[in-house]
Amino acid sequence: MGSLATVLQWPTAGLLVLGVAIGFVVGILPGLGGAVTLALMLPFVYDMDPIPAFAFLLGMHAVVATTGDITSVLFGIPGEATTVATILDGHPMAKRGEAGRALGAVLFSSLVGAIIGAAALAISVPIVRPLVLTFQPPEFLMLGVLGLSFVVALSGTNLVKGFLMALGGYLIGMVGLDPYAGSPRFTFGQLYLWDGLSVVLVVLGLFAVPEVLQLMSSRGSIAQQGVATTRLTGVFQGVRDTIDNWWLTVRCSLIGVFIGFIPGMGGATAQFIAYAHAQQTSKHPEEFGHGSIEGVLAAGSVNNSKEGGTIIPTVAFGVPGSTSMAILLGAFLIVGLVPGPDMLTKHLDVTFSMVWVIVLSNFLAVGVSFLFLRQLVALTFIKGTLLAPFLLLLITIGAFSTHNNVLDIVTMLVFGAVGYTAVRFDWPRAPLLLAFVLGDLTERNLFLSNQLYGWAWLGRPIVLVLIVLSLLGIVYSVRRRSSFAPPVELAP
Amino acid sequence: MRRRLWRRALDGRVLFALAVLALFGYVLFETAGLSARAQQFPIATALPAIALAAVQVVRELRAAARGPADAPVEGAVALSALAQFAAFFAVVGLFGLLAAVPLFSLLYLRVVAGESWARSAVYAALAWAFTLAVFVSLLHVPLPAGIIPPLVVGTEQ
Repeated sequence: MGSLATVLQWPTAGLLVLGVAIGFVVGILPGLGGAVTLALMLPFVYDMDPIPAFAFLLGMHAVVATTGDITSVLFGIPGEATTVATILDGHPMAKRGEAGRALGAVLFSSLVGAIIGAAALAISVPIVRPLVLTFQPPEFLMLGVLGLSFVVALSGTNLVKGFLMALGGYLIGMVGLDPYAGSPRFTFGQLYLWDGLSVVLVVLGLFAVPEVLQLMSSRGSIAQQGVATTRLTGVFQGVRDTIDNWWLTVRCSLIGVFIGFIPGMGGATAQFIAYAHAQQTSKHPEEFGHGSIEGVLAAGSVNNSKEGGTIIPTVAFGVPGSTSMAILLGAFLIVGLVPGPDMLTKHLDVTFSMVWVIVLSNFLAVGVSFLFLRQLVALTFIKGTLLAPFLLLLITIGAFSTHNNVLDIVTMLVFGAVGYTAVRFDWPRAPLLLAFVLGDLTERNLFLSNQLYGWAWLGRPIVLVLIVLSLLGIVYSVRRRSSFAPPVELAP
Repeated sequence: MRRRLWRRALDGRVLFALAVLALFGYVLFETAGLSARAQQFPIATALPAIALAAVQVVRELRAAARGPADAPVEGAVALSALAQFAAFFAVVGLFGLLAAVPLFSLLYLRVVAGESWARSAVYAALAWAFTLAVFVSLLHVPLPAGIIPPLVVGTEQ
C-alpha cells in the first residue's frame, strides 16, 4: 500500500494523469501506435525520478489498448495492432446499432483484464525473486540469448531480414568504448560517439520518424467520415454482459498474462488465441465474426491483461517481451535503474508502483471513456496534416534533449532513414531494437562469464535450461510461422 | 541483357540489401585495427551477417527480376513527404526550432495541406506559443538555436 501512496503523491499523480491523457488520445488515433508514443515521450523522463517516470510512461502505455478498442468497434479501424481482433465482432455489432453495448463490454472487460494483469505482476514477485537472485553473469548472458532467440517471432514474414536487423542492432550496440580495454570502437574519430548511441535516438529514428513521414504522405483524416454509426446507447448492457460472462473474461485475461510473459509472442497473437479459445468454448460459435458479445469480451479482456505479463520478464530479467517493453527498458536505463534482481529487492517500491500505475490508469481511462465517448470519437477526424508539424516538433525536441547537441538530431535522422527504408522495403525493426538493447548486456556478461568460469559456465544447470528454452523458442516460432498466418497485416 | 541486369540492381530493395552487405563488409575491415578481444564480438556479428546479406541480395535480385516493387505514384507521394520532412530540418538548422515551428507550420498547412492563410496563421501562432510556453518557460528545455539567429543577435538563443 506504500507504493499506492507514492503513486498518489504529487507530481507522480499529475504525471500519471498526463500520461493517461496522452495514451488516451493516441489509442483513439489509428496509426499512432503505443510504441511510437513511448518513443516520442521517452526523452521527457531524463530529469524525472524512477516512479514518476514510470507513472508517466506506463500510465500512457497501459491505456493505449483500452481506447484503441473504441475505433476498432466504431469504424472497423484498429487504433492499435493489438486491438485488431476487437473489430471481428465489435464492428459488426456497431453496424447493427449496438455500438454502445459493444463499447461497454470491451471497455469494462479491458478494465477487468488490466486488474488481473496487474495482480499477476504483483503475485509473481515473491515467486520470481528467489530464482533471479541465484543468477550470475552466465545466466544473464543466456537470458540475453533467450531474448534474442525471439527475433524469430519478431521477424515478420522474412527470417533472413529479421536476423540481419538483429545483427545490425548488435552492431550499433558496439559503437563506443569497448568493455574490455575501453578503446573506441566504430566511433569514426567522434568524441560524441564514445558513450555509445542513445537508445532514445535509435527509438525515435526507427519508430517515430517513419510514422510521421507516413502521416505526411497520407494527408487525409485518420478515420474516414461516415463509415459507421455513432449511436451510443446500451453502454451499460455491455457492462452487464461482462459481469454475466465473468468466467470467460477471467480465462481470456489469464491467457493474456501467460502469453504476455513469453517474450516475442506479441499482443496481437494473444488477442487471436483468446478469441479462438472463446469461440471453441462458446455455445454459439457460429455467431463469432458476426457480432458475438463473447468475441468482444475475449478481445477486450486480453489486450490489457497481457501488459502485466509482458512487464514481468522486462522487470525481473531485463528481457523485453515486446517492442514497447524494449522501449520501456530504455526508460529503465535513462532513470538509472538496471532491470533484474535489484528491481525485486532494492527497488521493489518501483516494481509495485508499476502495478498500481496499471490499475489506476485503466480505472481513469475507462471512467473517462464512458463519460466522453462521443467527443472522443470526433478526434479521429483530425487531419493528418494538422498533426504532422506538432509531431515534428516533438521528435526534434526529443532528440535534441538527449545531449543538447545538434548531432543528436543528425543521429536520429540517420536512424530515421534506416527505419523509413525498413518500413518501405518490409524489413522488421523490432529485432534491431531488441538486439541493440540486449547487445551490450550480452557482450559484457560473455566477458564476465569467461573471466570468472572459463568455458565451464556452459555446464551450469540454469544455463543449460536456458539454452534448451532458446532452442525450443526458435523451433516453436519457426513451426508457428509455417502453420499460422494472421488474418490481418500487423505492425511489427 | 546487361541493361536488364543494371535495372535489377537499381531496384530500391536490391540497393538496400547491398547497403547492408557493404556495411557488414566495412565492419569486418574496420575491426582489423582493434585489439584481439575487442574484435571478437564484431567479427562474430559481421561474418554471419555477410553470409545472410549475400543471401538477401540474391533474393532481392530474383524478386526484382519478377517486376518492379514500387508504384510510381506512391513513390512521388513518398518523395514529396520526404522533401517536406527535410525542409523542416533545414529550417531548424538555419533559423532554430523556435522560429522553424511557426514558419514551417504556416507554409506546410498553406501549401501542402491547402488550408486557408488565416487558419494556417492561427495554427502557426498557437504552435509557437505552445513551444514557448511549455518547452521554454515551463520545462526549460534547450532548443536547437540554428545558424542564423546567433549570427544576427551575436549570442546563443
